[in-house]
Amino acid sequence: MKINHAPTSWEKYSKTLADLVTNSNSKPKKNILAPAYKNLRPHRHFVSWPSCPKRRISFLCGYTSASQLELKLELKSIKNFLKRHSSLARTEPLLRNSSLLNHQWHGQALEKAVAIKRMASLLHETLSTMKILELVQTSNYRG
Amino acid sequence: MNIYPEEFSAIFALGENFFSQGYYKKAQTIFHGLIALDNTNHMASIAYGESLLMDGQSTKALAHFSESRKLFPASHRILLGGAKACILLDRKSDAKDFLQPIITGHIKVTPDLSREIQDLIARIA
Repeated sequence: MKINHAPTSWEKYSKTLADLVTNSNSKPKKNILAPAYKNLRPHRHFVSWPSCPKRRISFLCGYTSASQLELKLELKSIKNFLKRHSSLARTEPLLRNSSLLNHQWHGQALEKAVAIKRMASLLHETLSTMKILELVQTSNYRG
Repeated sequence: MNIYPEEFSAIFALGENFFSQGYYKKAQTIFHGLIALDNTNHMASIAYGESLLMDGQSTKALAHFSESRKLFPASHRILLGGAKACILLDRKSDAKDFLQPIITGHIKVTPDLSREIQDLIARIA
């Protein structure tokens, strides 16, 4: 019984084997990992932090993820302070009566009150920014 | 108005965060408020002075460190801050005055600051 192309096939295989052993006429092998590496390349439109617009950075309000977590734990204390401050501010006479500025002692007290008020308003602003940031993050997770 | 220790540390951490991120004006606002609430805390005093220095307000920083020195005479960070402000203002003799207790060994400093001190001494020499 004759097998079609039998000698030819054998010759072909033997040639391939000989090529593999002697490494002659070998073609450059394709890198099978190339497509995978290609996928790992950074996206062309990736925005690095240094080139991130200033507005966006200020929106993030200067938080690193680690310190943000730490701050979340301490948020309660800050909120408690603000709650106490706002209830006291309603009854604070120093901020209303500017004539008290004439007296030195009252001047110092007023300066202190203003410093505390400025800090409290910054804390309020920061907390609201954090709230916005949390909302943005939550919406991102939802996809 | 009183402030509880846990509230103080939480707000101080926020100020430190602003400082480390380069928001010196915001850090100043926080630390100034904390000093107004509790002027016995030397950490807030140092942090306020440092944020003034970083913001380029050397004159204000020097005035603050000079006041703080009266309240906390044993604080080496306040002395270093004052010396830095003097050097920035080109007042070498005042800087020497700030560094004197450290040079003579009356006030001991942590080893990590020795290089910074040597650098300051070299500048006033």
